[in-house]
Amino acid sequence: MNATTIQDKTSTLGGSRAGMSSVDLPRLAAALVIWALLLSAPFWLPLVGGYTVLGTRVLIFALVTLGLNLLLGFTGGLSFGHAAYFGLGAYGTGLMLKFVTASTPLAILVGVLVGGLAATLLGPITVRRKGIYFAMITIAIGQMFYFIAVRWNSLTGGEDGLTGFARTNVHFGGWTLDLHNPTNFYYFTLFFFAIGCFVVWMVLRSPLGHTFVAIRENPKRLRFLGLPIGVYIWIAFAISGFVAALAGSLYALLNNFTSPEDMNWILSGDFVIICVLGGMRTFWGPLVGSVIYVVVQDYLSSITVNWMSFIGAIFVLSVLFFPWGLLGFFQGRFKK
Amino acid sequence: MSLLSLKNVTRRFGSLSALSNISMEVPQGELRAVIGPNGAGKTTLFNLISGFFPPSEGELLFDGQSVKGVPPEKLVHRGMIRTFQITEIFLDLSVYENLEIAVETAHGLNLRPWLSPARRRQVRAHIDELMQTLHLEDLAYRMAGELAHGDQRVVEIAIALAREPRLLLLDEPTAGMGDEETDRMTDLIRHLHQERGITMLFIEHDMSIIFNVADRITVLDNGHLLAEGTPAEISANADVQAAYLGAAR
Amino acid sequence: MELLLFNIFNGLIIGIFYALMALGLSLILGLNGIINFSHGGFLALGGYIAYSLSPVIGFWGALIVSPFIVGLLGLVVERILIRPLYSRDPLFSLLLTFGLAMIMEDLIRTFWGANGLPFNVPAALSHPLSQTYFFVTGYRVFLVVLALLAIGSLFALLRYTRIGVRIRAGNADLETVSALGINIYRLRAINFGVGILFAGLAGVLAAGRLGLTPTMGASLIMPSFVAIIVGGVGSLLGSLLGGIIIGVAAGIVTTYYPAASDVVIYVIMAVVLVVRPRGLLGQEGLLE
Repeated sequence: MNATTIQDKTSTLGGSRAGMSSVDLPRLAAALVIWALLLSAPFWLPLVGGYTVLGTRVLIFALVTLGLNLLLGFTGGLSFGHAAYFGLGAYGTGLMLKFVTASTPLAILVGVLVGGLAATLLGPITVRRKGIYFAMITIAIGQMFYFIAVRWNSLTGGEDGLTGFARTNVHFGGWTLDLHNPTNFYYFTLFFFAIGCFVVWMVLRSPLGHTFVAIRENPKRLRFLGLPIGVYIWIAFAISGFVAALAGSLYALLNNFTSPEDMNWILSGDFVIICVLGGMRTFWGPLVGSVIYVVVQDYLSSITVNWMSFIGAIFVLSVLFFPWGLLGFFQGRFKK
Repeated sequence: MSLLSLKNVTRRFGSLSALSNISMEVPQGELRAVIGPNGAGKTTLFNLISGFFPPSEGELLFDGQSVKGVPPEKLVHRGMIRTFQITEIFLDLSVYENLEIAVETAHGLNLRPWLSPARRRQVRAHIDELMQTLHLEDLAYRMAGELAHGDQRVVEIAIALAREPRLLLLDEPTAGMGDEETDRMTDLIRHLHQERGITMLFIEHDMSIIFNVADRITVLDNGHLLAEGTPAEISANADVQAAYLGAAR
Repeated sequence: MELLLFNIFNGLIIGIFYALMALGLSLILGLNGIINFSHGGFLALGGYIAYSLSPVIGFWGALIVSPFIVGLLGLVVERILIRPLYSRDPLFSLLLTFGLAMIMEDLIRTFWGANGLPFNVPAALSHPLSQTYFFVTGYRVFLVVLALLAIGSLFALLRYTRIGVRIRAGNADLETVSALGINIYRLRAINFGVGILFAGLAGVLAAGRLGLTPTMGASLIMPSFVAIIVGGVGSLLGSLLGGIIIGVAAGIVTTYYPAASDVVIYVIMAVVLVVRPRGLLGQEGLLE
């Protein structure tokens, strides 16, 4: 049984299975199953009482939390303000479509740049502080954007949100992708989710990712190996900001709408709990957490007005009983 | 020329003098032990040399250049690296991963989001070489946190060695170890010194190790330099005996 | 000019709410080591409980009793939910109080309704004190005086009582305090209770000034964070100062450019973080 222990634990370094030339079969199998399920989701979702847009929403939440988890779970940076970069991506894309261009890809690009660059520029202010101080500053900075969105009525539509834009079809040469079709948009989103997965996966198995994990594990040791830790937390912050912005951009396209709620700290908290629910130290944790969160919220809000209490209870209970998330819990089980 | 030299170094905390007027020279290739009763200022001396705080007075030279006020993370790049009294390693990572991080950092690869296969092999070879030197092969895939205390200390030294330091500072390398582990650590220190020619400075309580391996010994007492000399000279020194007998009650 | 004075005075009052809230948060942040997201929930609860009590025991009775009820509730929450988390990563206490805040807001909505409720203050307090400066009502002056009194007594408590001295010592160095044989669990519980008591008091006072809504606490908590960051984490005086500074600054900006009044406090924070990362009165390296 000892062998499983090692394999499970080495996953903290993003699957750098040095010393083993063979591929890690269980992990590969899990990934194949996950991708097969994601690729076929529009076909089986209706059979289990779901609908395609729900699947798209899961993917978008999984994408933003995948990015956040690089910072939160792998680098150990407690960001409570990622909704801001998500929201900036959403507004960037929405405003582009409304005022500047009819091109969806261009609007996405601008949204990603707006949110990602904001995170990159603000990173240095936040990474000078650590622990809960870092958390507080990330929340407060995030909130600044929320209030700008609320108050800059003429541009953003204020509290009512930004309307009057819609995603447009994408043309490749002579071929047109009809994005109004929800199934097509699902695959469109899945494409970006795959890119996000690839980027995070690459980073995690590289020296950069190893450095992130080392910062989480023992920043003191790393500092005395001569590394400026702040720079690396900043890089993690920036990458996660870009991924969050991409997700936000897709969210605006999904809803053809965005509002200040998409950058509120409540949503930042939701993102963090999704990571925790699924398992902060695992690659697929954010996806698992997103499935639980989005489905539960969708279901609860249809059956009770008190859904907020239930979501709150999920926070409290998962912290008390499942601090390492669903995947972390099962990995722990295997070890025994 | 001396690799490390302290010239009339004094360190005060408020009105308290933790170190007074210490001068010492550690030549290239020497294995130097620092001993002294509890509270003699050994750890303060270490922290000062490794850049935790600058001397209040006096000069601190490494490789002929002043390193007064140079922070620890910069000293590492000049070739000075230390271990800690309480082992500082990555407990939740495997031994291999501990070394992987150390080697990648030593090669300056931290910013790379990917590695070429050639680089990957290079890193791999360095890790293997370290594991061989320190006899860690069998422990490669164990979590560092699950290892015996003695093995954890070896991992810490391996991490430090990855950097190929010119001066290695070891803060009580055998603290809390059993006899067998102590012997292993002693052998390791001797090996690193003889085979690799690394200059080392270490704090130690276990007299048998010190007199076994050290080239020279520096004795501190109450923040003052009490004596310095070869093991033979030190064991014959009346002041040292008085200080130790006094301290040992 | 009168408008400016009016807005500064208003800002001062809002700043005092921020300060009351920030002080409690700061106490809890320091000794308990957690960011208490549920602070706003306790604040709102303080207001609503006072609202329900005042027909029975009157405004003055409610003003005194409600904060203590809320403080007791804080003790219960600390004992059952927070205490198991002290030795764990701060992330978890953060998430727990976050969830708690959601539950509290939802329960308030369920019991008292989603719509705002008026909270009447005694007629004697609602008259303007000056003809020219109509906005200086008795209640507003009373509010400032009472808040200052409460803050003054908190500082006196921390300075002159044994428990206060221990709380301050624990803030600076918890290990040493526990090595001295002081029961840090009890100390933390009391500290949490006192912090929540202040939230409750702020809630009653805010109810009389701003009215009651289920989200009244949530809308005050962010500026309170900003107050702590601006004032400097670890410094209670800093939190007080930070609260008043950002309140007044928002008041001034309201006069000239109302749309930016919410944003300005974050701009102040960003400037402080760039120029003086530890805040106005903060200590280096605390809580990191």
